[in-house]
Amino acid sequence: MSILLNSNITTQVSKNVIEAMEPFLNKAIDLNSISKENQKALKAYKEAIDKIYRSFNATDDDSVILTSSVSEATSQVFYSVYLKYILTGRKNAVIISSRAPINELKLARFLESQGCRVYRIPVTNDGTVDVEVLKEYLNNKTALVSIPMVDDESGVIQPIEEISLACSLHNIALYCDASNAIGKIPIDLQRTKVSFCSFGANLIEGPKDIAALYIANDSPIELIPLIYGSDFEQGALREMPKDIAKVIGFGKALEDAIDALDFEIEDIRELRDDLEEKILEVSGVYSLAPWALRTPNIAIFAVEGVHASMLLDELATKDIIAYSFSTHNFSNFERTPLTEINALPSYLKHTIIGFSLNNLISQEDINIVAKEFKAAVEKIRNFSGNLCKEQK
Amino acid sequence: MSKASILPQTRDNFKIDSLTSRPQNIGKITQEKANELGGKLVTYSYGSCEGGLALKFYIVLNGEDRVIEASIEVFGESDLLAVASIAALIIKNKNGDEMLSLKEKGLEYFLRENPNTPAFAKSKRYLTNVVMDAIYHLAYYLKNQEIEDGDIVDNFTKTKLNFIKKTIKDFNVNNLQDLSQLTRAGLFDKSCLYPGAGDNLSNHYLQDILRETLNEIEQEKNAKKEVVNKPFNDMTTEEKLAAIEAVIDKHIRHMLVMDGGDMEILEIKQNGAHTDIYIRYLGACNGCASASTGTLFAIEGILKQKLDENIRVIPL
Repeated sequence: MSILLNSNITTQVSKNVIEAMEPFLNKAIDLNSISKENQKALKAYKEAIDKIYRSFNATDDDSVILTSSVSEATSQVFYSVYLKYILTGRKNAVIISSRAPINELKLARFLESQGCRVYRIPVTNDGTVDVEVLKEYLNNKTALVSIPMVDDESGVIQPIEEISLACSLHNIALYCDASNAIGKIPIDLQRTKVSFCSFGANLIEGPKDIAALYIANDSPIELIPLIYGSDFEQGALREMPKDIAKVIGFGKALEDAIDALDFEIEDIRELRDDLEEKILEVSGVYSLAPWALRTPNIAIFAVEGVHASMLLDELATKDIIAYSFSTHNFSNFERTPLTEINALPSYLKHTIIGFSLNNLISQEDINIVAKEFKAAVEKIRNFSGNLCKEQK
Repeated sequence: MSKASILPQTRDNFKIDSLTSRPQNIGKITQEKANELGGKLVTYSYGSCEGGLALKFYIVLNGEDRVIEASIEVFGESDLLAVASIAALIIKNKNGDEMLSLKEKGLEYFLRENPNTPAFAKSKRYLTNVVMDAIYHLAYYLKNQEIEDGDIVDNFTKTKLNFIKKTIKDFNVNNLQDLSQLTRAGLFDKSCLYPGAGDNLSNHYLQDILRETLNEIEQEKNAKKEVVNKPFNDMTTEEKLAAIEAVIDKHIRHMLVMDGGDMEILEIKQNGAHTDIYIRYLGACNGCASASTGTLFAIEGILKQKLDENIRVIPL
């Protein structure tokens, strides 16, 4: 059995979710029909939607549309802003974080190529968006502020409440990618007002390729569909998902994730801290995000002289799956690297490796990981020697 | 876009897998070991850690400046371990001049699991190219010669201008994506691809380099086509090719094209007193009944008349 420590990239579907999905998996369901079979599905579907609304405390006046992924939701928000507000000249600026996820960076690049101003707000040395700088850029020409609720790489929780207050003063739409926040920290959209918020089932042990986009009823901007369906499907904003079982699985996964929040915060944090302590015993390893500001499941390090790709592969041969956003195929160097925020030498940006725990990890696993990590680092340092220190 | 582009860029090559988990000739050679071998220890660094790819060669040379032992320290993607392992192997028992005759293709073929499948996924094609460049740099260093690198084009990966130009020529690159995948320039920080692709300004843009180099290649080709004025028998093979092409363009091609056909020269071989020209028919000529009789005699006749009596034309 491999030890999965990449729960912010993907998770395995939990038994509970599979059980909930099972009755609907091999059925041809048409929710418009009133036959008995379909009515049963309709009931489960409605319950799932209820669970989705409850999971982040949305009111019945707010809308939620189901999309295929968080990236789709992000694209819908950005393209709507472009087509309805930038193109028509009503607004001319979009604000994103300098540590935005890669899909937002690409969309921002597209908006820029179309003549829109994109401000990338820097992060302070604790990894959070600099709210004071952000406030200076807010004015009545700003169409959208997009800040992820939790940094996807470091797990640093962003000051969304503060940002939300600043945005509501100017009546500017705020979009939050909450895919790494849901199930890790409590989300209450009645307390923290955002205009749009999205999260997927992928990272909460639910089915893949389904996500929700929350739209506040008082959102200052209107969305337009990317994928058209009939007028009665999801408020004519997107075609309804055809896979009913997936929606039901999504609801169940959310319910479980919210129920497990207490467990997650207490037990996973303890295991994570133990792992972090053991890994920091190795010389030349730096933790890259402050303990107090991180979601309870993430530990992230830069390792002197050890390229992340080699370390990932070495651990993978021992059946330990970690994650790194600095290896070639997954690289996202367009945003500010975590090492720069922590004022570490520039070459260390290639050595960032992270461990993202889930509730399947035991103390035994942590001991194995810590042991293998030490062995792997030692092995790889023999390959690279003092190469990088000499170059400085 | 191709089938390869919808596949994940993960490696599925057994050879590279085993070399990555058990690399050979990787790490340091100490002075003591060099003394044991009775040679001189030389080190040479290539690349930069900041750019994410760095190599340091440890070479033990014997009295004739021939490599008797080689090992490489590596910082980079895990697949680089496999490439460096083989690189250290192939430079053994060679001197600087012999290293310069090594080719990237040889290194890449060495790493293939199956002769028909490239060793690496598309996004990692740069590995063998960059390591081969490192070997050339090492060779020049061993020969005590300077190698002209040119300016840094990509500030992120520290890719140099002349390496990019050389890659365009060696691989017949004609688009930006391939160029960036073969050299790493613009792979992470897109700023150097073309103005406006990234956040930073660049002194050189890949787009311009590619266009200029392709122009250069075109000019070189045209220059070669100029026919030198000397007897056919004294010409070098390249000059002969140019002369034959000129005759074909002037007297033969238009006949073929009128009937919807064409031809190309595959090879010229000196066979005793005879010059054998191997050609291939294209278009309508291909498979035409007169292609091996009337047309062939006409082509041969004209070439004999214009250039040399001993020419023979052989269609393939």
